[in-house]
Amino acid sequence: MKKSIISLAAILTLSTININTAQANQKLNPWTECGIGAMIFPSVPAGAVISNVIWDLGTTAVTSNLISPETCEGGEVHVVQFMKQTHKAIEEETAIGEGEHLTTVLNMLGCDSKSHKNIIQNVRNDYSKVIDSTEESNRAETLYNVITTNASVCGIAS
Amino acid sequence: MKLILFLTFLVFIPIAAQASSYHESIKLIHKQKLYSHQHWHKLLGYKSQKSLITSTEFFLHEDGNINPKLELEETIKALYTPPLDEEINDSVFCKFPARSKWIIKQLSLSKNLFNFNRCTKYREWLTYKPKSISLIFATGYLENPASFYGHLLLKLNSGEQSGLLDTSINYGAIETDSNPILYIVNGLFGGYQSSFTDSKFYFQSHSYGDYDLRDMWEYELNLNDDEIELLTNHLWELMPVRNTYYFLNENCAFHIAKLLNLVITDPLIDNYTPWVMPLAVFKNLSKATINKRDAIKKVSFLPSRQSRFYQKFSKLNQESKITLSNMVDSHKPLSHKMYSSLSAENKIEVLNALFDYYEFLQVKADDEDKKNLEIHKKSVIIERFKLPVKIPKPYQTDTLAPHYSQNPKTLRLGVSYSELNNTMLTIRLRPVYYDLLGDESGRLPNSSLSMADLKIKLFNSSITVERFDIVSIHTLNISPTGLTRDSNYAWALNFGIDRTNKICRNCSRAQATGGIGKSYQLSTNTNLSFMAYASIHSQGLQEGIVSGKLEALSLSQINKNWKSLVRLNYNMNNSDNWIKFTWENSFLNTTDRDVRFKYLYEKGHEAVISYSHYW
Repeated sequence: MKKSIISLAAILTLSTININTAQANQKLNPWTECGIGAMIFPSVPAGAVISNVIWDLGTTAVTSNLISPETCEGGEVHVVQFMKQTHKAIEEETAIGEGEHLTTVLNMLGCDSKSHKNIIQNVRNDYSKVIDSTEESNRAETLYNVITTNASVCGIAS
Repeated sequence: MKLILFLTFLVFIPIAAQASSYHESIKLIHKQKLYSHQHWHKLLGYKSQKSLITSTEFFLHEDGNINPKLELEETIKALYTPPLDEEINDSVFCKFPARSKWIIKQLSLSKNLFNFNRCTKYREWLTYKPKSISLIFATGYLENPASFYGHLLLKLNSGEQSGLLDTSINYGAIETDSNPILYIVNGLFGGYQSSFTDSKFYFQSHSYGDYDLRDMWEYELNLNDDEIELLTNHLWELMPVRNTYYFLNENCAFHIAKLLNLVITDPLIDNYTPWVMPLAVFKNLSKATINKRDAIKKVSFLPSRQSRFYQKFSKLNQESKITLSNMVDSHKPLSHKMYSSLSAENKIEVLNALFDYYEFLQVKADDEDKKNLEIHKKSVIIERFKLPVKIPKPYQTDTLAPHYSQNPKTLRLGVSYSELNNTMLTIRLRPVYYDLLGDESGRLPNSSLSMADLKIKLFNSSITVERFDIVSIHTLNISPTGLTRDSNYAWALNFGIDRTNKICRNCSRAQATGGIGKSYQLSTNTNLSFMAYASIHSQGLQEGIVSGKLEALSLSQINKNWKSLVRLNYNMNNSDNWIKFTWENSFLNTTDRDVRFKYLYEKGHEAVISYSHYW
């Protein structure tokens, strides 16, 4: 009896650990779950600044009602912030095969410059297959997914 | 004897003052009058006897904004108060690193007094040690009065190739109004607070370059490591503070120039003019030195989306240009037969150009049009994927940087000979900015912008005000491509005082004039413009209060030193219609001078020769 209780306790404990681990490992999609989608990138009335909050994006932790600090910090969130603003340039540069925005995002993902050429070629191949069927509103996120998948051999993307 | 002489000698060797306690430090600052030091005043944001900073948190003493001595004493007191670990980021060392390090150096305090690496908030704000600092000029923008004269910002360069992730520092008014009247009034008369703000540079690059379609110029400053550290530390001190914003003279140019004056002793703004223009900062920077080094290390051009398109278009061969023109007029651009007959290489160049074309058209398009443009762009991108990778040639510019542009203030003295009045002296005084015949470096081409522009004539000791333009703007909006959708209306706006015509007497009137038209590029150096104007004005002669005119204008850059303008007007009012013909030329057109010759016919002949000084 005693052994059964201990075994049951052990099983329950292990299950709890597994559940917690599973939750901890559950990958958040920073594109949709870190509040970035709610952020507005306003046009700049030239010569004026809108507000500290809106401008003070890139150097501090992203703030939003949806954010859980322990899950929404880190390199991927900054990649998403960058791509939200510059995805059109990155898409063009992917089609061309080269460009500073594309280089920057690969650097942000921890890719060594020697690996860029191959990764860009793969991104080019993969994205060209899906762009036609992708709605305009989803193109940025689709491009993000293609890039991070191909850059998974590098540092940050996993 | 020798010993006595030696000991006497020692007495007179200056010994570096060193403070080893709070009281000694206080004694020393009084002895050296350190609180009167210009550098200390700069760190506190003083202008004359008072700081411009309105945030009370910036000062440790309640009178710190008007009493630099008390502020220095209070700062030193804080330096001698070791902070608790949990309060480290609120300590004077971490909140005011520029002040702290300067005091430590001046008083020869121990460099181990505090480990600045403990300032975690500062290190989160700036995650890299800048290799250099750049000052960036965003060119003027006629769509928004606040941007007529351009804008400037700072970039803290990490040394990474593209610099898109570098921290950029902007300065401007906070929480402005959308109501244009309130915006202007509050901006002019101190109704707004202002501050420095930071973001990643890609944000500015997109906003100015892709959204506003403004070119930028990057001036990398020739700073050493200590100077970079000082500026960066002081920027950290300034990030939370507020000032009162005045559009004319305490604006972005003023505050950034004030910051740079921490390391550049030469003046960066003109003290004798009541306004501060961004261009003035760059012109003064080009003449300034930093510890005997030229202040500017390198100047780079950052073209806007529109400029990139224009260059790509100009580099196409004739066949490709015609193909692109036909494609953009077609409902299905890629199905056009001219496109399919291009070589792969030419196709690549046309498609690369179309990326920029469809993007910059979207800036001014309505929602429906944006959707269509996006559909075309998507098809172009898909097509581009089918063609091989080809690295495009880098952008090349032969445009001169803004600091080479003609100086903004004008004094023009001339002699006029007319049928009616024989010889007269003409004077023109224009505080800002440029006209159609001026040099175009660093400016919107084919445009004019002036304020408080006064023209007078002296004849037989009587003075006649020919014209006083409070504001005058004219842009020809010429499309260098000739593409159907790459064209905007030419427009003009002007209000002030003028005269009914050249020969009338006692006919001055207040007026407001608007004009709209279209311009065409006839060749690389010649433009033709047609405009229609309408004016409302006070009663001058018997012409009523409304009048109009039609205009044909041709502007040509004949050669490097000669620019020519021919203008034909047909004027109409209640009581009269008449022709006015003007042929005006500018010669030399350097940064500080030109010579002008004008022939004018308006109810009589007149010729004017004048000399302009720009400063």
